[in-house]
Amino acid sequence: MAKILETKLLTKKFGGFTAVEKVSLTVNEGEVRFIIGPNGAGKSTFFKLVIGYHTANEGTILYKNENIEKLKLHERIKLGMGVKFQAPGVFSELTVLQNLKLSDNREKSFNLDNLLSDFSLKDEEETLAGDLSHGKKQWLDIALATLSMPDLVFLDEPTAGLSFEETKKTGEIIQKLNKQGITFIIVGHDMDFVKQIATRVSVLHLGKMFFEGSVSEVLSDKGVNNIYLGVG
Amino acid sequence: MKINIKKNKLPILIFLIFGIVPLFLDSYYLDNISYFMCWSFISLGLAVIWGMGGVLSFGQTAFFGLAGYSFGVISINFIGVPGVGIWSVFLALFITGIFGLIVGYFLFYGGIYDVFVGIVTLAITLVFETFMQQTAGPEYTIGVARLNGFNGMQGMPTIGFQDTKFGLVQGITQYYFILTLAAIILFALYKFKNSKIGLIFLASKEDRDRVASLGHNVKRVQLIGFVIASLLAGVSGILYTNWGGYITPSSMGLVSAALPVVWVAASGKKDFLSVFVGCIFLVWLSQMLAINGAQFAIIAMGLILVITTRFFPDGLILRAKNILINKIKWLQ
Repeated sequence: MAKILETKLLTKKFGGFTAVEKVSLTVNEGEVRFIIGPNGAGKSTFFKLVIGYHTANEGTILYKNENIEKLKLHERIKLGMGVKFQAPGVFSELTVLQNLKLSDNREKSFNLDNLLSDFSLKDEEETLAGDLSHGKKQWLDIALATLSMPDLVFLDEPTAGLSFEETKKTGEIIQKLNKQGITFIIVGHDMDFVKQIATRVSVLHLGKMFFEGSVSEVLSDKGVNNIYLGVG
Repeated sequence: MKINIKKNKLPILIFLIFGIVPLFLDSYYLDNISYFMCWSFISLGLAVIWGMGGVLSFGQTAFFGLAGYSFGVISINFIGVPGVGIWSVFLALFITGIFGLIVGYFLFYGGIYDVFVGIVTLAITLVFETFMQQTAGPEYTIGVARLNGFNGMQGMPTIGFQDTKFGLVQGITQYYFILTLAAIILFALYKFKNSKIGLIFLASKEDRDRVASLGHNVKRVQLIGFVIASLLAGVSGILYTNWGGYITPSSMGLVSAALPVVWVAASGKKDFLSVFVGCIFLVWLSQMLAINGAQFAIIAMGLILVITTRFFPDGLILRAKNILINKIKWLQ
């Protein structure tokens, strides 16, 4: 599999605090990569560095072997990325359909009806996004990130606040989209969700890359258990 | 251009009423309504940048004044030249648009947002006012056009075609010209609001970063919205200058800058038709109150702003419009 994203020694400092320190990561096409770690591990900062929300102090970001550090957020998205931030980023004063129209930013896109059905939003097309339940807001947010058939999608905490059934369904949708060619990088906490869909897991701790491996390798690693899973 | 009559019964009705008003009113009242309508364009511009884009510009009068003075300077200097009553308008609007582009560029690409946009734009209009107030001396002349300080500039020719019957924008021609222009601009603004770029602009009000994360250049879209608002303020400035035959520095002062904000907030900044109707009503109200002293009008406008903000955050006229549509089935 070809590399879709590679970061080399990526570092971000906020004043005297180093949020991300020399993180090197390689993600191949077709992966569902999870980035996990305790609170304050630098997961969301790393995610925001890659998409261009923050600017790195040091290091390199290669997307499909092209250096994208100088590109702004919207320019990186145009290259074929999709993003969902941690807080639901739907536009509450717009309808579901209007929200999705905003996401239609490339020449190719998924069939809107199919996507709406997958995310159980078919009957809510004209509903204001602000009136949706929390779960449906999360799904609409994921739909916004994926509608334009990006090659790489970043999801920050896509199942936060979702019920067990909703989390399971979210996993199924992500797997379906993954089979259709989308590579995912997901920041998450929920280990059941990780077990359900992850193909590989990277563990961050205190801003540094702590461990990387398959789900079973991560679960069986004593260090990870000690710092993150609370078993040791 | 296709207008869906079924969906637009209320605006069509309103414009039909305005259209037949001249049959019942004499020229004094028509000139007055023309004056009220002059201000609707600066208000519509504010509804674009504030109501749609969530960026409160407190200094739209800077563009109003710039357009008015530009029109005055150009038309006075080229008086007698064929077509000056037409092309001077476009040239003045061009200057205003370029100035809007420069100001907007430094604002949005400079990372100035929220309340700071209001502060910067207010500062610009106050600097303009202060500068123009001290231009009374003969040295402040551009070509043959004297800026004339506190008393303002006058003597500009009327907009339109000099040798054509009803060709000059004055009297009843002025009334219908402004009314038609308002209808065209309202139509265009609704088209803009429903376009992709309008949708991006609307969404940027809620979350700029999220819009950018969907691949849109938010700063560029905000700049476009700001330039549209500047141009609409410029249209008001030119029509106002043409209406009275003068433009003064006070038109860019603090009170003048604050009034459009009150009109738009009280009318309902999210709805262009409400802003158009509300602006006409509130300028009329200001004029009525000003008969007993200009201060009364300002106090009343302040009160209206407080009441609206507290009890009708979506706007009084918009609330009235929604009630009207709900009560009268024919309008639905």
